[in-house]
Amino acid sequence: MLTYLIGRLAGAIPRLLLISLILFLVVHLPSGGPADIYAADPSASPQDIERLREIWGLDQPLHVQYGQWLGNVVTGSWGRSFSERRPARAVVSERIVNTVYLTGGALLFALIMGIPLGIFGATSRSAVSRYLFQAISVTGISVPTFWSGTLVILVFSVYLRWIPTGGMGASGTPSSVGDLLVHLAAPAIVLGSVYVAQWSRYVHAGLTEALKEDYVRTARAKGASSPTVVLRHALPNIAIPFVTVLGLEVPRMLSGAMVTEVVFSWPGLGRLITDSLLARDYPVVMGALMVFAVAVVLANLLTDLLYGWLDPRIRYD
Amino acid sequence: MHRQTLVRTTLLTTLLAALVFAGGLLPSAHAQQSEQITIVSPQEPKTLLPHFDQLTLAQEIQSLAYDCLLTLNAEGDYVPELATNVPSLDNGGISADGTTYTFRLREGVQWADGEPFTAEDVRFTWQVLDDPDVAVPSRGLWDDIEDVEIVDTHEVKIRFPDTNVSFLGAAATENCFVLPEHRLSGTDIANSDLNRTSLGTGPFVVEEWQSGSFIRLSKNPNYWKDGLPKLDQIRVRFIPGTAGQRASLERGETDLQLDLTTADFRFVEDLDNYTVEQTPIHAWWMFWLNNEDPILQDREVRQALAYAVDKSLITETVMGDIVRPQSAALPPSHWAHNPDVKQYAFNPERARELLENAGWTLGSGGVRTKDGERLSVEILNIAGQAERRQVIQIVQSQWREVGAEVAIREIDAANFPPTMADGDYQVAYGWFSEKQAPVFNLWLGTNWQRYANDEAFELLEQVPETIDRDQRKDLIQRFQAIVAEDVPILPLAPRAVLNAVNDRLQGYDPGLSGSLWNAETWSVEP
Repeated sequence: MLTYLIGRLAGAIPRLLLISLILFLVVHLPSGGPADIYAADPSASPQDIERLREIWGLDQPLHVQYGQWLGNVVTGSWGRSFSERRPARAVVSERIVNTVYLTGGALLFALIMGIPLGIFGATSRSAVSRYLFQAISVTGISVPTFWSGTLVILVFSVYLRWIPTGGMGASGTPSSVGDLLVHLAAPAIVLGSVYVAQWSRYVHAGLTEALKEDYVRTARAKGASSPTVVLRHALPNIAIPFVTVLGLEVPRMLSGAMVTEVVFSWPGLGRLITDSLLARDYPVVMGALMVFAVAVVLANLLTDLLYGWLDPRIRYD
Repeated sequence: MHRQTLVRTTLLTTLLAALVFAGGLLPSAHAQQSEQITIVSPQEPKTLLPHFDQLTLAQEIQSLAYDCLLTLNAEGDYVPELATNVPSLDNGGISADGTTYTFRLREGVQWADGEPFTAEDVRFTWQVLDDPDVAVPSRGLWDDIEDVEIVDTHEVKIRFPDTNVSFLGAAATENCFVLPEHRLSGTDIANSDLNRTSLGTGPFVVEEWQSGSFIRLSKNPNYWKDGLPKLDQIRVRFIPGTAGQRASLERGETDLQLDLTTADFRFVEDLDNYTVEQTPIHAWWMFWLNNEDPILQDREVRQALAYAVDKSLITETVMGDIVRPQSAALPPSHWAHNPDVKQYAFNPERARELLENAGWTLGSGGVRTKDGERLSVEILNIAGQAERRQVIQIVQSQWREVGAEVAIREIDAANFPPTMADGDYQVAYGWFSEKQAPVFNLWLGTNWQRYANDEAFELLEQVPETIDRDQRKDLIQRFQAIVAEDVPILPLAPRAVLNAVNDRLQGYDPGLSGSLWNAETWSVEP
């Protein structure tokens, strides 16, 4: 087990290196650099812009710049943000926590709503409830978050005044757990509802298949109650495909929250990445994207380890 | 692991979370003893260290914490701030040859940390801007200074190698904030912690900056104007989405919202307790025409394109009927604006005539051709704003009317300057701005339109040597007249900066120094 873990982690290093090289090239591909955003200033002459470029080392060949960046990463620094003029790691780290709140909340909501909804869809016998399930899941998948988010703000913030207009806390930062939850509820539900729809469909599809299996008939034959059959016999058997989907989606949620973050003024990573890309703030973009890369690698590893726990037949030796 | 326990725990946690959530929903008492206002901004500054982020919003917020030697009042006149005099030829503050400026500095001014403000600080600010290794995006006219002589602790003489007529503008508006020598001297200035905080002589002090959320400023206890500022706190909230901005306006939580779009402007007009105020800035929307392009190098073609655009239609619809069409190369807000240049009133007939004259005859599909070449132009745009796109689509259809084929290419903002500098475009839409003391970066600096006219450029080159303001104005106006004839660029309309102001905010008075320049006199109605 330990050997497996070490092997997997060691194998991740060349993979991350390759990812970083590709990302670096892609991020530098579009023309225009961090100095060019200052060209809108009428007193910034072309010479001023050129000098900025030299001071920042942007006139160096790309492989030299990549080498410098990599050297920085190895020594624990991610370089300095060009536009904010402070360590890129500080710029990215303060957003990671905020994003984990948002996506964590969304994830929790999606699990709590999605799994029961899927079970309901697969087990209910009446046509009405089946249509209801279809309606909920199709709506959840098709409604874009910028629209549902705007609607939620209009109804619950402007008309009913139950929730604030956005942000993370009444003063801007959360002053208490309650304050955070009030601000988190709406964006987490809006972001999570997309996943409620997706995941409930996985559970629904998996469960519908599983309920046709022989072991389900056996369980029913020996007199097990319907909830027991579903929850103890059928549901664990669809856990592996579901965990696989989770393992792919969870790291993706970290990057996919940009729209929700803009609608609810949430200071998360998605907004930071978009803004930094537009400003060509390479160290920040690279830092944030590498955080995703690491999250994906770790989520894959975690998924594989979970397989072993869920299915004792899987061994890692 | 017992799965039932897991289920039970999950259910309990959910219930608990729901309870806490519901508790938070109850109205909490918002005790408001201190006078506080909330400014909402769609954008966030990158740094608060003066001179290191020259974009308008950053300068606005910096102006709450820092002061300049002079400032421009709402009427556009220079008034003393950290200086006690406005140097002029008449009062001897400017030497007769226009090379030396003498500023008497205000005594008893303290930095927010209690240290005295002296002539050393003024000289230090110049040294920072003069240092080639310091990564400031622009240094304005401070770059041209030869020496800052300290006469005594409260008097400086600023010397230029040649006559310099524009320095008052630099001292009042561009790169004008004075930096604290005692704090920054000998440090790595570009990476100073003042990027995230502040230490100025201005009315407010930056207390806290949460990235992506807000900047909180509080009253500077050592501020030099007696009894000011009236407000105790200013919170600048960053709300990037329209939904959040509008919700905050409708709930009356916003005291001042910066940078409304035209669509927002209509929305705010319908709100009872808000008014829309325009901040005068010398910026304007325009089309760059690439004067080296095979098609556009012909002046008659450029003039035809100018006649073919119905500017009023654009200003009245897309731009919300707030601004009027602009024909000169400087906007009407500028003191050197020339109102009498050649106007290109919408006249598609004249446009067709000019194109015929230039040899472009109607071919198949309504597109003109000349020597087998089609009259086809591509408009370059910065992607992302609906309003910009609408303007371009109107122009596209109007140019088609006179027989031009028009394509649109969109790129992102950071890509725009290098693309323009390489001349890799035919027509480009965007805005540009000019300083109160004009530096003509559009012509003598970037010249993305690749305009070449010795007569016109000579006029501009005479400007810095001309001490008399009226003569200077005359030169700049003659330049505008020539440019209007040549159409190297096609000005469209001034770029309006619109802010929504809550009626409870008292003393708001936007001017040429910005929207927040007099924030120390603001107060709120109880």
